[in-house]
Amino acid sequence: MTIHPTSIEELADALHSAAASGKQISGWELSSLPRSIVHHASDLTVTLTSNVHLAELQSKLAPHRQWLPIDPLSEISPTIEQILSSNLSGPRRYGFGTIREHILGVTVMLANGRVIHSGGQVVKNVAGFDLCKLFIGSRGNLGIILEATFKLRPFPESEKLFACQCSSLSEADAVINTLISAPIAPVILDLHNLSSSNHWQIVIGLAGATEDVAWQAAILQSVGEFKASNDHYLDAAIRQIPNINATHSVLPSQLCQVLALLPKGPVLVHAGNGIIRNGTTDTVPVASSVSGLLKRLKSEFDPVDIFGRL
Amino acid sequence: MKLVPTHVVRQLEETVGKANVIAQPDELIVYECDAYTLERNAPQAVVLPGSTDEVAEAVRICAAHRLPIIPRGAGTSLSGTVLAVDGGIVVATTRMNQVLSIDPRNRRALVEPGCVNIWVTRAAQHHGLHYAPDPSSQMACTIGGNIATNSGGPHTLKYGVTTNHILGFQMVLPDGQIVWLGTEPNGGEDTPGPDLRGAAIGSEGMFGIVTQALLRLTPIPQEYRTMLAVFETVEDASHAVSQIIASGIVPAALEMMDGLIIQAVEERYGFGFPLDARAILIIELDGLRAGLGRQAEQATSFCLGNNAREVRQAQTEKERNELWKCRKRAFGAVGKLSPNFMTHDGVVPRSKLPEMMRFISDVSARYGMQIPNVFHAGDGNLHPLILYNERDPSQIQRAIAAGHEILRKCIQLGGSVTGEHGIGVEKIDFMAEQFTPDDLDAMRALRKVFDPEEHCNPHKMFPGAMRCADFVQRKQIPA
Repeated sequence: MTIHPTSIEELADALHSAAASGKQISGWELSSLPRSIVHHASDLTVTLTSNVHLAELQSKLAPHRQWLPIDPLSEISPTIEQILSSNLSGPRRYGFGTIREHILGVTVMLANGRVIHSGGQVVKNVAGFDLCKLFIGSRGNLGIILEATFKLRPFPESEKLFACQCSSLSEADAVINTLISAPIAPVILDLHNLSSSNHWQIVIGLAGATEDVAWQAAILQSVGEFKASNDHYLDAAIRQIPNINATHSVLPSQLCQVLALLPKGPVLVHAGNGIIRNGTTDTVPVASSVSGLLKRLKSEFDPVDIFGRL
Repeated sequence: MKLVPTHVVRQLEETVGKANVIAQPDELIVYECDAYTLERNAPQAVVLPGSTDEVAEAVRICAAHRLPIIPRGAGTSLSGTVLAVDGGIVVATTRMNQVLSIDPRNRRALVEPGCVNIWVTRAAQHHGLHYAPDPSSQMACTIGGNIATNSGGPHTLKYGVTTNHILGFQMVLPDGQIVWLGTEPNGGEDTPGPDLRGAAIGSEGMFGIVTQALLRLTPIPQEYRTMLAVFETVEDASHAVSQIIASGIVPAALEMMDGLIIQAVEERYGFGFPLDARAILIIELDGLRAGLGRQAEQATSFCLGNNAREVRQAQTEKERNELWKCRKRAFGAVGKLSPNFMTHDGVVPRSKLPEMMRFISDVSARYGMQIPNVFHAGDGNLHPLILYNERDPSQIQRAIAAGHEILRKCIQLGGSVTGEHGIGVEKIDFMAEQFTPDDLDAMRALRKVFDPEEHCNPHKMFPGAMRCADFVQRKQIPA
């Protein structure tokens, strides 16, 4: 059953009747719920409803030269709810981290229809348990995220991308290792092969004060043949890699070993983080000790199982 | 004091060795409180395990005898987090204190829970890396304790708090089961499913005992610009803070000390602070050399624009270290001003700092209590130190009441009663003011996931918890 509530009350009613009738809710569309974006520019925070699309948020923040430093890959800008529940991320996670690093507070409707809050609107807060984290990556199986508060970042004064061609994976590996130990602080460190040839391209993104970006760009030249570039490879990756948000996550230093074993095909890698996007995902078995915790989590938060399996 | 049955002591001794069980009442006094000293109660015994398996076995023994388990690191917590409210067994991780490995390529450190915070940076610095969270107690506090309380510190303004630097950890659950939450050593950083690691960070020792932790290491900045701005009023300094943050500069740290603190710190450490200053800001910028100069000029101009009398820059690394030593040991210097003090760590939105500082000075006047302030201004994270003398019961009462007014104001301004010290036993009464009954129920539900029996660090955080006997007595002293 998919629900399309027009008010919070209606959403709660839908959850109640699902629980009463023993039906599972397979999906929800929150676009008809009230929407709001409350931007506290001088505090560098924003509180918004989860049905807001990221692009809408960023364009509202842009005149203040602020942004939520997250750049998930998808054709249509995802909603805040999608970003949180699927833990979506993009190339700039190398510089800024994933959404868990930015969340300050969350409002969630639990399976019992009650609305709960965790965290708050201030940048530092350790009152109570950190339930915010629980809902990140939970794929809507513990509750429905209604609102969130994030800390924001000032726009970097300058951002420049550079790319370097490598004729083999082992050459790319060597360049990446040199970049990691160089005195630079990139915000993007990507590697891609979207042509299925042996040619790999390293993309590096530098951001910050204009002087910082220029100084780092000069260092790049001593590492490899880096040329000014742009982020068009991301659009190409979205077009060529089906299911772009399926990822493999490996120890960054083992990346090239793992890549060599993957079947040929278009691939985008966030090399600094060890994240591989080739349309497939490895099914890592959850340790049995953790699966016990997950089972209890499910039975505490959704005892009649209206949201489906964790 | 409750005694622990001798056969239980014997079982614990068989597990960790006779030398690593403390059950003599006179020796247990050391463990009767943390840095929050208003409430004290000794545990029934203290166990000092040397390995994860020993922790698990000790925990199983406690569980079998229904004895409360109180995880403990260095005991530097500030809100009674490690207080044995109703007795129980303290499991202290101080013997498990090794840095197990540093992986510079992947910027990770694997450490034992009793490893002191600063040791991680010491082990990593020759690779050009450091562990970013730097609580003021970093020379003593442990990584396990940092995880339990999601510790902060001055440099969290730019780098984030403990949760932003913990990739994963091994934890012994209150039933003795050993789990690994989050990124595993040599594993990829993303793990499927809900972020249980994140949910357990800051759980104040109520979810289990951390026995190993995988930390994120951060490159040491190429350069620092550490500035000292001297103001005639706290309000001017607060305005400067708000403007620096709003301007888009992300300082590594932005700390304020008010006049009383400046005097105490100067008397103790003789740094050369102007004794007549009413407020000092320590502004630290870090990063690449190229862009720092211009940012430093910008920050300076915001200070001067808010009537700063002077803005000095630390000229040498030694001077920078001295300055930070003064800041981080400021609490210690307060001993010069008063026999006792109570610290709070409420948070307000940064733009509300001027209003909040006015409120604190008003409270100070109304209660006739001195309240110096030394705090993480850039985060809006206050540290009013309410001075009192515990020999005068009316002062204790007034100090408690003044603190409560300040915390209520934080909630009213859209903030939180605690930014880094935690709820512990100290701020239990505020949970119901900051959260709804449903919010608290959800937290209780999460606790049950990790500890269905609720015997790990009991009587903390939730309203209605049992208090120490001698605290009740103190509360009843008429004001």
